[in-house]
Amino acid sequence: MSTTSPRPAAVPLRPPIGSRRRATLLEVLSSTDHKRIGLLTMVTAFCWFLVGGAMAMTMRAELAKPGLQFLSDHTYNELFTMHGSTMFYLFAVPVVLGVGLYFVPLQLGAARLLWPRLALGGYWLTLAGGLVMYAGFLTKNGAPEFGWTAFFPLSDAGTSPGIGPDFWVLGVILATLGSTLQAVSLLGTLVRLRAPGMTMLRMPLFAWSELVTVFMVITGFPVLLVGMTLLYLERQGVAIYSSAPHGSITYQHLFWFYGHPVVYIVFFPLVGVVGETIATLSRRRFFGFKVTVISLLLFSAISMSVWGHHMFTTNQVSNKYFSLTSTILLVPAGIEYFGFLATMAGGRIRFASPMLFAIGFVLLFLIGGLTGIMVASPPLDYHVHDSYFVVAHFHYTLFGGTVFGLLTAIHYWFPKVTGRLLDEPLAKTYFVLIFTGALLTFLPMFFLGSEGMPRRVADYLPLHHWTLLNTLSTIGAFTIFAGFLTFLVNVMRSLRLGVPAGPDPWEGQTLDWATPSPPPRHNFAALPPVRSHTPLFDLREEGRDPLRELGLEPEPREVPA
Amino acid sequence: MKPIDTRSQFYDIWNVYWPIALAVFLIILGAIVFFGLRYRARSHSPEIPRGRDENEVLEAAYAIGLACVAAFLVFLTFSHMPGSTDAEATGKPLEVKVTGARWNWRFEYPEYGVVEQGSQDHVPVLRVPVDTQVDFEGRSIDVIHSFWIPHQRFKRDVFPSFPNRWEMVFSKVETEPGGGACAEFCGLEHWDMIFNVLVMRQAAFERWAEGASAGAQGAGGTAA
Repeated sequence: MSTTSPRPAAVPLRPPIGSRRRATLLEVLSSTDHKRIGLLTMVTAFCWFLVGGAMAMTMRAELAKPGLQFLSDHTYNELFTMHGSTMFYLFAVPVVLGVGLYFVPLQLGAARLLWPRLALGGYWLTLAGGLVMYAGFLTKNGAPEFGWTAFFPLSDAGTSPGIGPDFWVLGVILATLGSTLQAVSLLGTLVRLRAPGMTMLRMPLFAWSELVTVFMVITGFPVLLVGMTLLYLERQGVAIYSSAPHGSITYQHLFWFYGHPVVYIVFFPLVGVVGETIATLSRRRFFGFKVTVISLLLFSAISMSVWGHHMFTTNQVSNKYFSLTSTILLVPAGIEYFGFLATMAGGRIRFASPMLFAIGFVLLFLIGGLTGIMVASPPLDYHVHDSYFVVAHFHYTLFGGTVFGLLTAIHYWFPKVTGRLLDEPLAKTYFVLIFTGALLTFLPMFFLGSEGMPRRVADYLPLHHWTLLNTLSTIGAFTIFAGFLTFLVNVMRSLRLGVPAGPDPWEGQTLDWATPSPPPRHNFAALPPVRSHTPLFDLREEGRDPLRELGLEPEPREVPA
Repeated sequence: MKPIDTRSQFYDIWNVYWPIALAVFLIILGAIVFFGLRYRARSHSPEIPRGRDENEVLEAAYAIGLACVAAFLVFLTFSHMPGSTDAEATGKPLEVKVTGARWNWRFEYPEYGVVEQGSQDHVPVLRVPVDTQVDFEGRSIDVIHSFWIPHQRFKRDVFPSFPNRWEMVFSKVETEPGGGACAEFCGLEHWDMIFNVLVMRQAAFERWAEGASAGAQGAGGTAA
């Protein structure tokens, strides 16, 4: 039996397979190949992430010291509105769907997406939504200043005049519609295009996590589309929310019926990625696969009944009911965490970069999850709601969950998409920068919030030790920024100079590794038998070499110690 | 029967929640460090470790354990949430009408005919007697605001189109005015929409209210 390295640097391999001719821009933008649609969606979303991140840096710089230094309160309010809007509507939701569009067909052993034109159209709509939303900056009153939540009546035409907010509402509608269509295409693919032998319970963990995500998209997103359409009409003079005393509460119900599931939508697929990364790099099957799948389903079902916990301080919802449903979520979440840890126990863990980011995800998201259980208790939420405590809490779920999950996915699948490995020492460097940056940026915010600093403020009084905590947070933010610059250097460099990865650099367990990197147009020349959710692992367990059997690796592997 | 103030309600729950959260974090961190050291791949052997990847009895027992934790937390929270107004409070409750407006606050004491209103260069002061139930009625004249007193560990949103009511008890005399703020983003000067809170001895509060009332009437202000 041959030996392998976690970093098969010296393995003689064929160069990455791809088209000899560079695709034209038109071909890239109009392809119905799920890999191109997925990659386009992911790369576009990541560009929006950089834009939203630049806004965050600007705001953190302003908040480093009390007093307004270089931003006006007007500009600050535009920035936090567009930061949140960009991160949710244009980055987080599209990116988790984009990862699905690329990797779900590969994991299912499918050659394509079902309804690829729906997914491509969805991409176009989401892109158009982003451009329309940002067009607000070009209008007279600028971009809107009502937060990504656009609560009514702050968002009505009298309080937020101008066409910029109208553009924003239309942009949200377009982007959300686009994401919904992409989710429908994924749902069809997951139901109809699984490889022979792949029953529902033999779908890999990531495919399952995309499926439950798609359920939430299809249930929650139409409600936002309705809410935003009504807001648009209201702004054009039709009395909708203003027609009854509790119209502002109605808006919040419609918004959060989308808005709570969406925070799970943007991290669920990454739970799947992290689970598979931990399993693969520990050389084990994910522990408790079936129970984890059930817990994902349970989680997504309950997640449709927790939206009211955003409204505890309105005193207009049944606080006890929503407290109960929100606290119960600790059961499925705890089961998933049990799976992460139990998979590591007894494994043979390789601490390559995907594993590091996966552990970063587990730890940082844990902070978000544990503080989430706190804010599910109304008497605690009465204090910390809309304070910096909540800002810290949800950044641990969104930065710790979505961004670290995405970095896990990128480091795990970059070799599959590009055929080349990322540079490991560089990856470890920016893992340290981004991880410590995430602690330094967001931990002080818990204290600021507890001591009374509200969120969404351009300035704060030079009270207590708020200045020190804010300065620390700003230093942390710039540490993260330095980390992402290094990350971009690694990606750019590895695209050209990275070590060829071969079809399966991590000894993966699922069908996405049973094809060359990058995969050819129709993905698979041959498929191994699918008898569980880990078909490649099954073969290895029997002492067989899946790659050789599939004709993917003619040369025996020679590896330095 | 003395009504429970929001601050001690907060800490009764907080002091149970945060140690549990910290313990869970440390257990998981410890497990990751331990497993990471113990099960680290020390050679490049592709050998697959043997071991179970399913243990339904253990997982079911663990899920039941988690459900018990959830039940305990929910029970603790609910037991600190009074269902309705606590009518047995000491003495007669004080009524205060709170009005939020972009970007200032107004506090009205209908029993005394006193109005305290903030302005561009006056931060309004909410004066309340210690150990007395205060019944607030909150409204806004424009967008949603949120009346937050961090020291009391409590906030409540106020809306333009319907009143919101809540009760608070302030159990510690504060001689220095401390902060209150608007917590719901309400536009340009949201960050500056603050107020001061002064918790006074009951007699001192009475004196202030009577004096302010007489002053208001003497100046031709609104009578109670």
